[in-house]
Amino acid sequence: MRVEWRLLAGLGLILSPWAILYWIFSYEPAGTAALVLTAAMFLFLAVYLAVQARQHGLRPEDREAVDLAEGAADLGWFPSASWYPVLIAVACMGLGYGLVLSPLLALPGVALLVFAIAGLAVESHRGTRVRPRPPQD
Amino acid sequence: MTTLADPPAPAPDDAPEPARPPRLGDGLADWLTTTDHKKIGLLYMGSALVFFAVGGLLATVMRAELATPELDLVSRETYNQVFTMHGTIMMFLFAVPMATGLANYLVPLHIGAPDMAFPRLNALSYWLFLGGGIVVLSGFLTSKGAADFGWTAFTPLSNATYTETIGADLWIVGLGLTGIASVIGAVNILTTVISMRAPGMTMFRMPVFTWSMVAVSFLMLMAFPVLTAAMVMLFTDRNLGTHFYDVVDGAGMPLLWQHLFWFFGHPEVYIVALPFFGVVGEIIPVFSRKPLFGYVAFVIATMAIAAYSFTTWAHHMFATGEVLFPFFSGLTLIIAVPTGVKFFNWTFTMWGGRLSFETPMLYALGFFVVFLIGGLTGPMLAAISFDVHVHDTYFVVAHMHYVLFGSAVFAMFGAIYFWFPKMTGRRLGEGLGKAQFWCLLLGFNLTFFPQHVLGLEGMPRRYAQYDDRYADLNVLSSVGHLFTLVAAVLFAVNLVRSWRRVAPDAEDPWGGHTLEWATSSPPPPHNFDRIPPIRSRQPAFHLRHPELLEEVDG
Amino acid sequence: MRRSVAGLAARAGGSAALLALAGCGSNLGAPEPASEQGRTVLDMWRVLFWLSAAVGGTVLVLAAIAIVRGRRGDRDELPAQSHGSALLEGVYIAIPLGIVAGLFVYTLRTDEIVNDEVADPDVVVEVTGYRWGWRFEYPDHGVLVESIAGETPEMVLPVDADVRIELASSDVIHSFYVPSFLTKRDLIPGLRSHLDVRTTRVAELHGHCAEYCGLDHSRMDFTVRIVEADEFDAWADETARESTR
Repeated sequence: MRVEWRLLAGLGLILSPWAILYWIFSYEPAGTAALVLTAAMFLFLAVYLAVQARQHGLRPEDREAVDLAEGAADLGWFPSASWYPVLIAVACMGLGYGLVLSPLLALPGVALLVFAIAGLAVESHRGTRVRPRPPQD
Repeated sequence: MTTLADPPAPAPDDAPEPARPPRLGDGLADWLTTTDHKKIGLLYMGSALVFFAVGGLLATVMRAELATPELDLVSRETYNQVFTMHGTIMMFLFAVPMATGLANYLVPLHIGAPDMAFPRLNALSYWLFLGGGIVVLSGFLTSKGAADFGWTAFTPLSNATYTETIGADLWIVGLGLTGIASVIGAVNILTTVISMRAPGMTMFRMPVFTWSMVAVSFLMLMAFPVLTAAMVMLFTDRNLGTHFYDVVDGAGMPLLWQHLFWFFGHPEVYIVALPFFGVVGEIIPVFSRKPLFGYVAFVIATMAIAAYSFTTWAHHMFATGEVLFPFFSGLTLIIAVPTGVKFFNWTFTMWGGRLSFETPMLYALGFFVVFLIGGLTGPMLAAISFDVHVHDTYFVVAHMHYVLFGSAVFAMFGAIYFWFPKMTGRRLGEGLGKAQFWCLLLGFNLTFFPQHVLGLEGMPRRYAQYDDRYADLNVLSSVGHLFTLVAAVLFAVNLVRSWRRVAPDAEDPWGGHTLEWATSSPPPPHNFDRIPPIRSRQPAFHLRHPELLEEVDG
Repeated sequence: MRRSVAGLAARAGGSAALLALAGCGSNLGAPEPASEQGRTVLDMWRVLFWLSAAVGGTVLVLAAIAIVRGRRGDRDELPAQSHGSALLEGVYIAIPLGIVAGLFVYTLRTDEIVNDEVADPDVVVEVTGYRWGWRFEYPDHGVLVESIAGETPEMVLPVDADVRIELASSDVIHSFYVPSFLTKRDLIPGLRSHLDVRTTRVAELHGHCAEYCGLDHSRMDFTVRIVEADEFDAWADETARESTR
């Protein structure tokens, strides 16, 4: 992860002096706040990745001459299909229309949102019930 | 669950399932619940093209109205909604989602991963984008119509006093949703690239398209929240009685919106452009039969553009007289340098190569010429006194269409023609493709080149009716649009006809260099039955030419 | 107005020719300046145009050579797989940096000249923009010009004079734009700003609102008439008398 954290540190370090210069020469608060926060976020991510890099050392994908077998491992769980993403989006739409048109409309949106997010989280433990249909030719 | 080292050995009497392109007939439930990054990528790209058509029709209305100086086609109310929604749709619902769709499809394949890091979050990004787009467009269905304050929504015009419509609030809410979708997508791409590269796929072996998407993800991560905050404040000003953007004597609080909007807005245009720089960086090497010239410089330039794009926002505000001029002028000029470096990367890739000019390459070259022109008017606009003359005139409209259309349309068509075989196992017709290209090149230039002159002469933007003195060039511009429409029709015809024709050479018709060309067309569900060893920046190329491997470093 | 396809086609053809000519016009598409500051901006435009043409031309020539040379040779044979050259890359980073640095200095110098303020202007005009018209007040002359529906308000100025145009808005953001001055300034509610011009020739100029302000944004045109000093005085006296009637 060395390249990654150095990249982020570079971005943060490029922006920091400009943030300072901007404040000194303009005293404009909105732009300064945005620049400072952006630089800080990059540096924050850089520090996190640097710590991870120290813990994990060089992974197979960080080494140029490596055997493919070294990457053999469970990469993680890739849920094949799930209803919850589209349900969350529909809930957000309902919430949005509710905010604009009437708070009463927003309530079903909120309810659906809570249900769908909870479902998404539970699905991470239980596994998805949806099985993709095998392709029919 | 996926392991990389052991592909399943096919049982003796059942051959592995032939990979086939996803079909609409796969079932609505399948499309609604999919978490496969390839299907989600196709959903994004398909939806983006539909929004492109809608935005394009709005452009047709504008050019038809502007063909004559008088207001004789639509009402003022309608025209104001039309140009507002044209900009909104093209920027938020077409260009960025199109790039996101390409990234969704290609990034895992480029790095040898079986899917994105968070497949369900990936699906959520898509559905939030679509939902947000629908909310924005549903403004047209309200009695007072859609948002009509320009895609930039300056205050005080966009506050409750001057814009009372529900369409405006729907615009705000809808874009809030699409913004969240983008941020989630950015997190997904970054996590995928950092954590899920195949062994041997170091960062500096990744394709430049993937590097471009890394930069774009950084931009999305930092810029969209600022827009969302600005939008929330506008919403509460309009509906809950807050006073964020109120006029305060001597303080000009309306400028707060401009600072926040453009802090997002300038990175936004690089969010649009950078993916397509990456696309061109993939196409040109393949059709020159040699690697990208100056790969490391290209990557560093991409990151420099990303960093500096945060520092240039108030070059959109020079005419206010209220911003720190040398800071923004200087930094805008600095950003021209890494962009220029890329032009030399592309040129010297072609230099000494063996070139062929199939449709993807034509589009890459079309991008090259069009973006060159747009990129040259950019530094002009960094020259403050000149900018102030042409600010808010058709000169800026010309500049932005040259850069945006050059990237998000020309390079996009290049990407579509290049990767269509990989994604579908079919080939798009070359004859129709080339006809479409020349038609588009002519139509685009005829539409927008005259607008530089219109702007210099003083014709302002967002005018439905104008002085007679601007008439001739407007007619020329509108005629150009007709050619663009023809090009659009040619593309639609090509797409429909090609979808049905299976092409035996679709597996790798171009001799691709990067990892996606080392798997079937389309790829199987978890992308690779067997990943080739990754020893260079061009794994598929070196699979075909192992004897050339020693020449390359890293 | 009837739109005939043939008519449109004819105008399109004529415009194409005009466009080519406009590009070759001495102002390269920009209007003839009517102010000193405008003349400076026009000079800058010429520099920007030719510099960009040179840079763009160079890039296009290089690309064209690469393309022409690349069409030769057998497609099935791989060319030399070169992938970089530190020297060349250094050159094509250094040269743009140099150009950009020079442009920056030139821009700042020009900006200084254009924004140079006169301590004691000859004429002061207070401009108020509103949805959707203009008010021009000359405090030193007791003159008030107000937009009337259906008519374009006119600002009269003396030639060879330093004019200060003070800008204020009653409602949303507008922008005071006279193309022949090659400048504009936004009218931001809550802020007062100003624009200094030194008029250089007798002329009738058109002006637009250049910041989208709602429904009738495109119906907020005005005119600026620059006249000889004595004519200006006469006009001011006459208009002042009319206002007080």
